[in-house]
Amino acid sequence: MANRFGVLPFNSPVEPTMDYSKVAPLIGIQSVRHPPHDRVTEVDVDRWCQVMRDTNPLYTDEDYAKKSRYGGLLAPSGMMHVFALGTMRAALDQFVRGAWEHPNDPNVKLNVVIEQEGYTGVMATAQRQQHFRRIRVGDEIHWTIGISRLSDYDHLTRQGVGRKYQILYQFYNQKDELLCNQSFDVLVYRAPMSTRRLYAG
Amino acid sequence: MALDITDLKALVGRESALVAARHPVNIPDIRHWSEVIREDDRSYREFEKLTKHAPPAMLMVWTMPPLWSPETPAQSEPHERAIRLLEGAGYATGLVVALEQKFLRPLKVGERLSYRVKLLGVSQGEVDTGVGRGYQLDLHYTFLNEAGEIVSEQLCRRVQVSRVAAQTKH
Repeated sequence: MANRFGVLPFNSPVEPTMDYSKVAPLIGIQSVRHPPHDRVTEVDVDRWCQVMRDTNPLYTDEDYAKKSRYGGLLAPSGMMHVFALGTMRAALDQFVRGAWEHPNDPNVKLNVVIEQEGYTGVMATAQRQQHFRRIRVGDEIHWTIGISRLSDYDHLTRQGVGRKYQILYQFYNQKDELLCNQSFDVLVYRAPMSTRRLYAG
Repeated sequence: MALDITDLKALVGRESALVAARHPVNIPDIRHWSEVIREDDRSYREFEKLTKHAPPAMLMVWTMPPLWSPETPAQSEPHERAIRLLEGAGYATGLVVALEQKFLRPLKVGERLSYRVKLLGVSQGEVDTGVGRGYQLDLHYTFLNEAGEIVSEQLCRRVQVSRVAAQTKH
C-alpha cells in the first residue's frame, strides 16, 4: 500500500510497466492539417531580425529581395514554428483550464495515456529541423503533428525511470508544398521518490 | 562635471526633428494586440477582411524605437542633449513619473506615423523626489501621420536623479 507520497514498501510486488498496446496505435500517424495562427508578414519578420540581429537583406530589403532569385521577401527558416504556435487563448485553455485546442491529435492522446501510466515528469531534450523550401512573406503555413517513435521499454535516467518519444511536425505552405520536417524529442519520467516528496511538501 | 543650468535652460522650447515609425499601422500588430489585451481569438483572415482602424493606445507600438538597429542613433536632439547634460553632471538615473496622453482619433491601417519631441520645461533647480534629489524635465510629444495631421499629443514628465535612494523599513 503506497503512503501519501506514493511511496511503496520495499516488499511490494514489482510495479507494472507501461502497457505499450495502449499507445502503439498512436505511433506513426500524423494529425489533420492545422491552419496557421498568422500569415507570414514583413512586420513579424522584421521584428525577428531585430531580435536576432540578422541583417540579411533577403528578409528586410524589398527591392534587394525582388531582384534576387527568390523574387520577393523571405522569412528566416528558423521562424517556421512561430506561425504554428497556438493562440493566446489556446495557451490559457491548455495550461490554466486543462483543455487542449486539438484533443484528437496523436500527441495529446499519447500524453493522456502517459500521465495515467505515472510518467508525470516531462523534459524536452532535442529539436531538429530539416528545411526543403524557403518561407516567403505572404505564405500561410499549415502544420501537422505526430509521434514518430516511443521507447517500448523503460530507460533508467537521472530524472528517474522514463520513456523517450519523438514528435514530428510537418509544415506546409498554402500550395501544399512541404517546407520543413521538425523533430522534437521528449523524455517523460516517473520522478524518483525524493522528488515526489519534495513536491508533496 | 558640474551642471551649468543655463545650458539646460537654453534647450527649453526647442523641438526635435520628426522621427518616423519603422512600420506603418498594420493588421498583424493589431491582431497580436487584440489577442493579448482582449483575448480576441479571431483568425488573421477575419482581421485582414474587417480591420480598418487600430486602437489609439497602440500608437507607441509603432513609434517606439526598434529593438535593435545596425546604426547607432545620434542622440543629438534637444531633449536627448538635456538628458545627456544631466547625466554628465551625475544625475544618471532617469525615471518617467507621469504621462498624460491625448488621443485625437483612432489610427487608420496603413498610416505611417512620426513624432517630434519638445523640451517644454526644466525645474528651476534641484527638486526632492521619493528616490533622491534631481531635476525634472517636461517633454511634449506630438504624433502625426504622413499628411501632417496630429493624431495624439502626450506630456511626459521625467526626473533625472543622482542615485536611487530607496527607503527601507528597518
